[in-house]
Amino acid sequence: MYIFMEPSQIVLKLVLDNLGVSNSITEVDDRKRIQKAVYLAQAAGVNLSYVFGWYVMGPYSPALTRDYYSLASALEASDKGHEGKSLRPELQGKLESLQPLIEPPPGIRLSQEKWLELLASIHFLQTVSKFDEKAARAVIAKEKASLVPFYDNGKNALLSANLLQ
Amino acid sequence: METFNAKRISDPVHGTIGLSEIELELVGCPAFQRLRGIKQLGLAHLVFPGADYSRFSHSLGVCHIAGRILNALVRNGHVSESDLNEHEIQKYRLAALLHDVGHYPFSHAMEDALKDKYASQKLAGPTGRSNSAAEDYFSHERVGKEILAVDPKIAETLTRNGFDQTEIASVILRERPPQFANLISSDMDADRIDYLLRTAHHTGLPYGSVDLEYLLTQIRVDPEKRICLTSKALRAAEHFLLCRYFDYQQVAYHKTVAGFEWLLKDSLQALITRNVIQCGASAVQQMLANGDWRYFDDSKIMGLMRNASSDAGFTAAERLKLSAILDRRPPCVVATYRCLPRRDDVSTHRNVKQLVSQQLDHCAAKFDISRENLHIWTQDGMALTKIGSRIAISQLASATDDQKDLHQQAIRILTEDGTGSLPIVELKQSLMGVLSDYALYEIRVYVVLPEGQEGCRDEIRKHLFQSLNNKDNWF
Repeated sequence: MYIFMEPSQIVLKLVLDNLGVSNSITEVDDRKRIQKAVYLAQAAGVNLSYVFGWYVMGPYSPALTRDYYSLASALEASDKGHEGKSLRPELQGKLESLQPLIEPPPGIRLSQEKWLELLASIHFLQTVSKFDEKAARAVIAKEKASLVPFYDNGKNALLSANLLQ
Repeated sequence: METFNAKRISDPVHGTIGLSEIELELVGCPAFQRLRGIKQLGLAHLVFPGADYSRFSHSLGVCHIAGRILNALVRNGHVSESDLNEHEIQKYRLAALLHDVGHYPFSHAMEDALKDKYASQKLAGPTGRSNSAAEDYFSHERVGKEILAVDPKIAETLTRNGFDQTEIASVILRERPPQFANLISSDMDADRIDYLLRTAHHTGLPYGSVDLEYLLTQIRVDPEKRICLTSKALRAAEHFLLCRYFDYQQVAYHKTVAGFEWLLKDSLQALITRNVIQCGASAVQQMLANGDWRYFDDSKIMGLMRNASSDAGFTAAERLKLSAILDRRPPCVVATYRCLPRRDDVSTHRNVKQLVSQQLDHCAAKFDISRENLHIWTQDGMALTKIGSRIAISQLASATDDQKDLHQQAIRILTEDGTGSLPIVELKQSLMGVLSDYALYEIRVYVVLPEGQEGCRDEIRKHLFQSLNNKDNWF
């Protein structure tokens, strides 16, 4: 059988599998979870060459959107191009180090996708936008008011994973 | 403003384009002059002889249109001159001028080929181990950022005129929350407007008769600082979206253009795999440092393809594709599946591709041709608007944050009371509201055959049609 799944889609599928994030895109929250998880994977050194810009929800990549829709189409058409394949061990190691961040810590009453949105947004504003903490907090307060109470939790999680300095 | 008319350039699409002194200096930089050698439409000129305009003229056009949009916002009284002063307007014009500076030769075909190669390097070998280190590649946006960071002439010109290159890059890449959320990227941004007008002009097709003058008189900013149009411009905006849809169908997705793009991507992959083209991140940085980037353009790649077409180190299928491009021998479409379902129902057609694939495996064996000579091209749900292509109208009422990213990119219409704006597809009186609920799904089967074996294509077609289901959708 000729395989349609492109290597970038196979890698995307394997990255999500390694992080324990579903590749389902049925729900709005599913797509948000993928965007933010892949952003954090790239921040952790798994470079998939996606360029993220700042949109309403924080870091967002139109090219990643195209790829997860294509991946979903391929899987829907029973394409099994990813089967029997694995990521290079060093990439698996980087993703493993990211896993403690994927779920909100105990006591943080945020859904997984909101938690990932918070982490990705803080990281983006402080490292890509190069805002200081005060300015980054101000953007979160203006655009994502419900996440402000958890800013310090997010910042500390990023610091513990060495994603912020 | 006189600042933006320091030099005037004749342009076949816009008549006259005015440039400021700084824009003029940047246009003279080698990294910008290089764009003369990158065709905007790839190999479309093999079908539309006039469609060989470059990213150079397109970039000038985008700068011009961006300036006109910004001037219109001030002139229409919805943005004060203090919010959008001359420096700010210049910043956005510079971002528009430089937005394509990082494109590779053959633009998206090259980038797709690179993406495949470097993604493959992320995978472990059969034993689960990997011998060599994985390398990364830069997307064209990232190359553009790199050029702004390291090109001494661009950096010096920007700095001397009071601009920081990281500031311009951050506008292009949306690295900071933007002042106007949808100025740089939307269904009707400066990039798309110039593309549509310029492509229509150079192909001779009638899809560029956009009422730009009227649209500019009706442009506004809503209270959330989103660029939008008054409801009076609804028909002109819908006309623009229809033109864009037909342009894609008739140019980028034209059966012969799409066929050549398949050959091009496979040929570029063959050259990249054999390291004839080296475009990893470090190779690009090296080209930028030693000046080789200046001449890394379409004609350079065509020369490499010419050499490869007679190089026995390439497979017969690869050389066939290379020579098919060089001699303009287009691949043939032997079967087309087309339907226009409701967007929610597109997925029911996706298994057709897998069924066709099985038949092509049989065809390759039966007619003793390489499977590489057969190709399935898919248009997976092309709709009229960005929102339309992803979100069902029925879901719009419950749209949540994630969808706002897409909503932000839709053409927006100011509400009658001026307190907000709505995506065009949400208006009850909008044609788009109805049409965007449907999406085109299309599969084409292409074959490229060596000279003398072309007759085989009729037999392949016959064989395929005998084995296909849903015959009503096939032709």
